[in-house]
Amino acid sequence: MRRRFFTALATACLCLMTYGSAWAAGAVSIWVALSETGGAHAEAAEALRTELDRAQPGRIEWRVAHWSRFPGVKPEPQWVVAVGTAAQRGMQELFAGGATPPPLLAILVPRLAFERIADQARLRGGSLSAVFLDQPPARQLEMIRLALPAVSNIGILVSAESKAHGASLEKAARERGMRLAISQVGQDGLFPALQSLLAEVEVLLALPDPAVYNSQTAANILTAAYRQQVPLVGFSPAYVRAGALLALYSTPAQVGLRGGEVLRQALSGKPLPPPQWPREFAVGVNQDVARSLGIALDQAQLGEQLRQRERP
Amino acid sequence: MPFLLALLIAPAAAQEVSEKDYFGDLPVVLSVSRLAQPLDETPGAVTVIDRELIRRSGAREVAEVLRLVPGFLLTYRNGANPQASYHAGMDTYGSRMQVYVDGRSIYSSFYLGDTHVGLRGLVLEDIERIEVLRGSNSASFGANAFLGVVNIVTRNAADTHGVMLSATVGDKGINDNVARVGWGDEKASFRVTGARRVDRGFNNNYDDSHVSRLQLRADLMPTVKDDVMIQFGAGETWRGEGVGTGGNPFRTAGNADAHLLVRWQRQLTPDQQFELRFVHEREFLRDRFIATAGPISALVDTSGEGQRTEIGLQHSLRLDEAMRVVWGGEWRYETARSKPVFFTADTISLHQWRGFGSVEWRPHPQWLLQAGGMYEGHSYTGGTFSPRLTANFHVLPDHTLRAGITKSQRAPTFYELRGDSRLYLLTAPATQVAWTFLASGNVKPETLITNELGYLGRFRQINLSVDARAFVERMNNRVWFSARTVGAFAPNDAVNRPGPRIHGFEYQFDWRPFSGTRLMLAEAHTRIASGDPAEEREAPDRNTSVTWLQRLPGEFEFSAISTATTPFKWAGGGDLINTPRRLDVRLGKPFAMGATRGEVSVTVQAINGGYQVYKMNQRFDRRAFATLRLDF
Repeated sequence: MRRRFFTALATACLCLMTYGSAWAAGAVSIWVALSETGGAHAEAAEALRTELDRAQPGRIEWRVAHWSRFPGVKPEPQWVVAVGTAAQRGMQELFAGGATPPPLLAILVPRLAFERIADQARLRGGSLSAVFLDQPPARQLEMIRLALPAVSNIGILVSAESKAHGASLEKAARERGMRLAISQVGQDGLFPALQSLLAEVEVLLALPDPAVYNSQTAANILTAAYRQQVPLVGFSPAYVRAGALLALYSTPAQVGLRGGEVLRQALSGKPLPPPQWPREFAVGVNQDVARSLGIALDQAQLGEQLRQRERP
Repeated sequence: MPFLLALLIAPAAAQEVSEKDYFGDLPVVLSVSRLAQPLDETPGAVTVIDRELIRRSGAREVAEVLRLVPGFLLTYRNGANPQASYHAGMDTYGSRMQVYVDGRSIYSSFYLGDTHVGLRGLVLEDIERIEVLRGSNSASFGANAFLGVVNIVTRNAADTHGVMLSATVGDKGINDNVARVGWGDEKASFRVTGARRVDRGFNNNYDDSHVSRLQLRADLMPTVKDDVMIQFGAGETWRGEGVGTGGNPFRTAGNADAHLLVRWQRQLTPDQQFELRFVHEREFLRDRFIATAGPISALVDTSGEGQRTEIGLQHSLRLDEAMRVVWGGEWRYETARSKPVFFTADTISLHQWRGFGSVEWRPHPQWLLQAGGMYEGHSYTGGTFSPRLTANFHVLPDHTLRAGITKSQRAPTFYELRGDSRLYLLTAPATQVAWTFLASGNVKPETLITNELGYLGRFRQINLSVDARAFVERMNNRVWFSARTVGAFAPNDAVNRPGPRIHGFEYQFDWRPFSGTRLMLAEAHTRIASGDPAEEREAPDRNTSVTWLQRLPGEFEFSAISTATTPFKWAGGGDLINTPRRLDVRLGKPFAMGATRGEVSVTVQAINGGYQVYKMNQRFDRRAFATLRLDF
């Protein structure tokens, strides 16, 4: 029933959202494949389209739909945008057999997920790129330095997969005179790793990894960190609501906007740039948690300071 | 076909990171009611002693830790009876102070009111932090939250997975051992701690002590909204008593106790929490000896057993950004049984019920007004009401002024209400030779009206925090024992008299000038005005503690704690004595061997030489001990 509903919905989207001016000279056809047809994915897709349509009104023939609706659709587009991990995987596989697949820009994908599924040949060949959903390590650490100037020991809790974040974060920490402690959740569960980490760090930086942070363990980790008076820095507004001291994230619209900018430059003839971080971001602060931990933070000011640091 | 395959594979890959991790919703975990009130918004002065400070203080028990709190005095009635008291040494059992451990009061109302035995039974290694409310607060904590409220928070079982072993050996027969095992998963954690603490007390005293304890704690999180804590503990304390006279011979006295505590907290909404608490505990006291006076010898016995059952409910809610409310109720049933203490083989009992409420109102970002009150019904003494009103004014973001007025109570104990102690000749016929106590039952609760002004400042640039408090505490209905005539005897009765007026000021500085260095000063200046010279000497003019924690090269940790008190006389048999500086030092070295972490430490208490304590002829001599601790 549910599947049938989504199929109907996706078809409706395909019909409704497909518009364009096929007759217009120089029209470019772009497929926007969504991992999900609503929510964050639709929001990012909308921001991307708005950015391109603003720059070149009426030039693009859009087809926006759930990624599973595209197989069999002809003719093939000139560009493909995949919104989300599932869409990226689907679109890569759809064009896997072709000699010259259309260039693919994945947006709203976590870096680790992108790297795991990216078609390496296409990546090297420059016909695959991405705008990640995560934040660059330098930005994360710079924010911690701005928000908690006295802190020099930062901890991350990782699984075998998210351990890959360690090296770049460690480098960014070293550059700022901070120390990064990495604790890996192993066979004996979350708590031994968490306990030893909380004993030696002053702030815990959460990284997206469902093997470590899911809706059950987030509660365990947030309460354990709070008991040790160790603030947690999250990666989404949900973390701020749940009880993280603060979070650094890019909204779907911010990622979509960056995707639009990348695509606009590519359409004007420049080569597709390498995968990159979103440029725009937001900072959220949980004032109740801050007050309880005796930390004074101004959300707007913190965001502005961080933006200033990134300006050339 | 490939995309269909991808569809099938996708759900199996749920443990792999995807954008869902960013957009998934999370329950509100640290809701307002789960968050601790910041210190500049508490309705009174609070000193927090955390686990790190407890460990590095070198203390072996809680009373020794409390001397780091401004206004707290430490004495030893003998080597087996360390006791802390706030502002004045009015009794030798800690009966005018309230102590909560995870929401369970350890106050024993069986005999004369006692917290010092309960405090002795606590295992320091299991304590997360000690929060001391310097002042009184019956409006929130009920009767006996009188001169000082000590809130002890033990470690959550989720924070103590693994095995911990600790052994301490040293002078004066010091021989302490702790073994702890913790395990669990995301939904439930468990811990079992076994501990014993042994020493021979002071030289030339019969005051050996032997404290042993078994403590279980389970923390369950069946859903993200629910916290269930279950604790079971049992232990015993044996201690040397007596001064070697005919009326007070050397002997071994003991206490045994067991308790069950269940606390369920549920987040109804992010702004509302409901709490249900159940406590049942039993205690057994044993102190029996033959007193002799010339040819007469009689059995003196204060042994007996007590029980307490308590059910409490609490609902806290945030109405809007400016207003928070907490209200609730509690019912308590206590029994005591002791033929020699109450002159009846029957069990005597009392009921108490409480209703309380408090409102926290923030009319302006700089102002916080808190008003609260508790009405307590008591089956012997009737109803009492304890109100409290405080205003916190944030002059600047890190600088707060606080003014408060509160009225608190100390409920009379079973003995003060129903005691009946008669002494009989040991030889037949069992003739009554003395009547030491006969309660008329007319005694009323002691009351204390506290006025206070406080300042809390935080100088972030130099890592300094300051807490100062000026206070006037007016005690009324102080309970004294006074002889009356009953036939040929003159037994004591518990009677009320006007109490003293204690006033003064206290402050604490906590400064971290460099990373690895922490300096603390806690000092209180106190005066007692009552017209009775003996009562006026129950508090020292000045009581100081200075703490220095230093991290040294090679990861060594050094700490030094110096305490000093000007002359005063502890009630209940103390002499007017000066406690000159006592200096404790500790050197510790944490280490790691693979996954095993540990620490070796050496502590010397009173390294500057012994000092008189409580009585002229009693000394706390220099003592050294070493501890090895392993966590794996």
